[in-house]
Amino acid sequence: MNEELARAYHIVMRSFVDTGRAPHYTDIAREMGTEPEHARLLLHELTSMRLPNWLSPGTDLIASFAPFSNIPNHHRVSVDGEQRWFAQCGLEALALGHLFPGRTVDVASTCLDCGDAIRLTLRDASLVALEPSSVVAHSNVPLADWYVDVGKS
Amino acid sequence: MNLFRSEEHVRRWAGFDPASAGGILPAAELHAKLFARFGRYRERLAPDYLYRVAELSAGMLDALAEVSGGSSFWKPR
Repeated sequence: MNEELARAYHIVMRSFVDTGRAPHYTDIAREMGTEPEHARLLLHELTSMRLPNWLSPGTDLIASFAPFSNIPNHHRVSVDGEQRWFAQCGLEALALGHLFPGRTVDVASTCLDCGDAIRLTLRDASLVALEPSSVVAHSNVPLADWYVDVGKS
Repeated sequence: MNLFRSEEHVRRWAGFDPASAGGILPAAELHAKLFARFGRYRERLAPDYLYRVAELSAGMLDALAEVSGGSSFWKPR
């Protein structure tokens, strides 16, 4: 593990928390005080590490970086009432409370079967509310195959 | 990975693969036993997170096995 990679990871995560969006590699370069091409290569290395982080195929653009999605989807996330974020998936939505310490995180999602609302409220390590209480998470792909095609899990 | 209002909704979903029945997990228990507990999720904002992610994930597979009732669906390759 190299220090630059750890720093690049932190910059991406911080950017998502602060702005709701992923940084471009030129933003990462500016923050690190390095050349854009070096940051681009770091980003590719960072998204090849068997962590749930990936680029949009054939591009240098972050598509998803757990627990966030850079692509708008049906897992809308609000913090203290402001909707600016999207969760990577239904599973990672459960992790969002830790990234906004002391704040209230609401996830408004929809059931793919009936289209009705699903709501989670998180605060730090607590799941404050879950509506309905019968909510389940589901993966169509076994864990062993997630890194074959993580986007379909 | 998606959320559904209940297990019945997963099984009724047009995209449901019957081979993935083991992939259904209760959200509240998943949160309590995995997401609330493990450093892998709690410490993502730590500047040294990437150095420690393996250590922070220790025990997670056991927790996942507990939540899934030991389903082979949640075993790594």
